[in-house]
Amino acid sequence: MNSLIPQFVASRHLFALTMRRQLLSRQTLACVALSALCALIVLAWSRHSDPTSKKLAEQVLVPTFVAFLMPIFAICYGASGIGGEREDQTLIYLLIAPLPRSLTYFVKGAASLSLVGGWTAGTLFVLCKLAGKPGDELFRLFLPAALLGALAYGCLFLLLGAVFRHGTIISLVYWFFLEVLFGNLPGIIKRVSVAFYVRCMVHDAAGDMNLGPPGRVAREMFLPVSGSTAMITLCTATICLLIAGMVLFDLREYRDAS
Amino acid sequence: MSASLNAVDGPLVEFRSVTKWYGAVIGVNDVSVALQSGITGLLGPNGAGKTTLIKLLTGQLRPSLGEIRVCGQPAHSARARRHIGYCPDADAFYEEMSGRQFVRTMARLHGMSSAEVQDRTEQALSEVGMSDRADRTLRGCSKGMRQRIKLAQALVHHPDVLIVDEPLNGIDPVGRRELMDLFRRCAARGQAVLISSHILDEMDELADRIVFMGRGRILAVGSLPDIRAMFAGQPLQIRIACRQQRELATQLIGWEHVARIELAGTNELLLQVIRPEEFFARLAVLVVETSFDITHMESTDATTEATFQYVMSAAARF
Repeated sequence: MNSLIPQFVASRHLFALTMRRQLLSRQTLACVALSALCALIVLAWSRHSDPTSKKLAEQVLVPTFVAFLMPIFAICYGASGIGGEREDQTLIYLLIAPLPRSLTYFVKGAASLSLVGGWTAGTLFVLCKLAGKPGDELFRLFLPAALLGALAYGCLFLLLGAVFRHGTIISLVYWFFLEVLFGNLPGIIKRVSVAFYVRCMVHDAAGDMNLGPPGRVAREMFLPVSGSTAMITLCTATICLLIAGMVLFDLREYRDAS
Repeated sequence: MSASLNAVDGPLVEFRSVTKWYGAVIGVNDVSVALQSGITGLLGPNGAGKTTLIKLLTGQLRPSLGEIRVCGQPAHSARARRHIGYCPDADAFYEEMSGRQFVRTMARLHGMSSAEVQDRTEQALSEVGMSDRADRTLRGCSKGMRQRIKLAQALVHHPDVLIVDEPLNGIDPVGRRELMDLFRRCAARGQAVLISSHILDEMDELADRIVFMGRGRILAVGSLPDIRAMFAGQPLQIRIACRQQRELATQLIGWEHVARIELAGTNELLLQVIRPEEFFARLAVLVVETSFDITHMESTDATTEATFQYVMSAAARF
């Protein structure tokens, strides 16, 4: 009991420290710039002669937000949660602090995931507002899937940042090959990608709009899972990745930290 | 000083048959050593295992075999880290912070209340002589200032065991003297101070005990005179300043303890002496009985550096 209060105080401070350092970092500049670019795309699209929710989802939100911005937010803040400390050589100060390592990982992860979730929800809200009336309807449909996807991505990239020395680069490589390439391959191989489950959730939530890959063949090759299965998969992946990260961080020896 | 120190029986730090492997490479090999309050110097050439020993002690690495206890707790546990203050060699900080903010941050990571953070931070900054300069951003600080801030963060929670890796790098001579005084004050308070350093001269006057490491093993542990005494068969180098240089040399040359005599300048003799204790006793009698005017006498190889050379050359024979 005696050590719980100092641990709580230290954890609270570590959370605030991580949030502050992450927010005032290069990653935030990258997120602002890319979000602004997507906002310009949405503004340009809103001048469309016949803007509908279905077109907004298929032409803008899925390709720019779900497939691009959301993983980028997760890479920016997730991979740098522990990975940034390693690159700055400041990880040593966390390793010698009297906090259990798994708790350190959890607190850093909670701070990073809060930022990933905040950016995801905030940017989705702004993009939908800029799109006008079609966007208002889509925000409600996209938000749960986007948040769950962002958290799953965040936990995955946090883990990669903790395990590999150049976590950000490895996260980018992972995202490009497994999410972008594999995620668009026909068949069930795409089921290893987070984006697949996000899209399944969105398609399921927006059933009335008949969202999905264009064309009959593409639809048949997509082999979607139900919305609830996708949601359970994303939740399970998030929790498992977080626990795996806590265990690995606890056991791992950082020889590069001096 | 934390109250925990009084509650601990036995050594503050204990390595029990500790071995650490990095794959097929051995980092430290069957190391058993205990640290008590006082200053202990950790010396050894590159690759000797000093860094591995420090990383094991600070819980960054886990031993492959054996165990390490800090104030009775396993070294890799969070409870043990409450007793440890570590000043790393790497010159890395949260660069956007000021020195004061950095030390406060580290105090908060030790779970202190706001009032405690304030008090302990000012106390630590004052101890390292940075109270009036700690508001400067760390990226604008000199190497010496950064070194002091790093030391302040290690002291802020009043650790029982202070581990400092190359603490005098980048510090000017006046600063070195101040930091050496600080380490002595820590030792006087009952803290165990482990200093890993390549500056052997400073260890002569600073360390109560030396741990010599080589090839992953502990080669020798003890005070410098004790370690030097292990090499009694090795001639001791002595410099004597005497106005009657040649007359004294004539007397000494017949002694069986004196292996070699060299005249240096107009009034100095450089001797190599076997069984020094017998030599000093006989020399004292000679000086009393005759009128030799000896103004200065010193051993030139009872230094850390000379002892280090002895230890390393002895180790190389095995």
